[in-house]
Amino acid sequence: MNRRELAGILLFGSLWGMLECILGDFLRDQNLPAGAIMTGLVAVAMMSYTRIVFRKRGMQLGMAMVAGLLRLTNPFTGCLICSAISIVSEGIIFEAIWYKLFDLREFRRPATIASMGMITSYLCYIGGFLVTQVLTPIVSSVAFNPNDLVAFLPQILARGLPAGILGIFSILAIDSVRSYDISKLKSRLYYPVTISLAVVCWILTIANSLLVG
Amino acid sequence: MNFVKMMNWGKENTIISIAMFLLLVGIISNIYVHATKSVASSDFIEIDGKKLSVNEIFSAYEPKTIQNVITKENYTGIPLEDIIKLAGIKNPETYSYTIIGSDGYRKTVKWEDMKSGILTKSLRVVFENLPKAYMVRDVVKIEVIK
Repeated sequence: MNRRELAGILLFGSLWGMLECILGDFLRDQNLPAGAIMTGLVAVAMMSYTRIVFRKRGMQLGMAMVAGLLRLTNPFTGCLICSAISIVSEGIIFEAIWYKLFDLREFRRPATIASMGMITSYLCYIGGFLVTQVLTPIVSSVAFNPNDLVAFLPQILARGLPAGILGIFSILAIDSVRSYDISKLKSRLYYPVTISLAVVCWILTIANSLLVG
Repeated sequence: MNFVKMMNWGKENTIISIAMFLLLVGIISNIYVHATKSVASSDFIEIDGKKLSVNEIFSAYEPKTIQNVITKENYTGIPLEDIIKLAGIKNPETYSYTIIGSDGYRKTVKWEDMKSGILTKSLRVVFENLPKAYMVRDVVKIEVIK
């Protein structure tokens, strides 16, 4: 991983984490399906965009770790273990699905690109949900009860549907804006932009926590 | 060249088939969830087969405010310990409890956790030491695991 990619991880991870903290909490307060929206629109868009423009395996997991860290260590809203675990899980699942994929242009049909959006978003959402349900009790020193998870499995599979559908639109949109390639910026502009935007994301998240609570 | 084209065509068809399968899984799960959804009344909570009126619960006991150590937020509600006693559960410390929401979401906790938990006015359970994943919303049932 070179410095350019590390700066990309910092920027897009911070952006993702900020949106999780601000937009995600807002959607939850409005009783909207925050998890599906955040996975289908934000997570899939961020991860697929960076995979396409940087063409680097492992970068998306790095971004998920930065976003999870922002969610987890945000000093003013307390530790949100479940969300952080879910975000990192999404990064791991994305890496697994896109292991051999770096460019959507290798597909001839838009239906295939849309299908990749559906598969990525649906599996990231239900995978994140499942991993969270298993790991949260463990990290919280509570006994994990598999019966609770099995009984709720149909609900998890059902809730993945809106995330999957949003993922279709998300990936088609990313495919159409792929020409806006941040990785091609000259170094004298790239580093100040990425670092300062990442700092702004962290400041906005903390400010939001202080003002909104 | 044709072979490469055929390989790509096959790969694309596989991807589309997987997406169609997942779409189908999502649709069938939604149909199943809606078909089996219990029409639970928000006026009652079933505890070990006994129906307790929500009004009865909230008029019988004084609400208590707790702070969740993870979210650092304060919540006010009736202690779950009192509700279990109101339901007439004998030797409550010897059992585990599965708390079930109207959407089927459920979490099983021990008596030690129940003692630090409350039921809020919005019928959500909150525990002092457990993460948000344990805050079951719209509680309709508490099963006693013997």
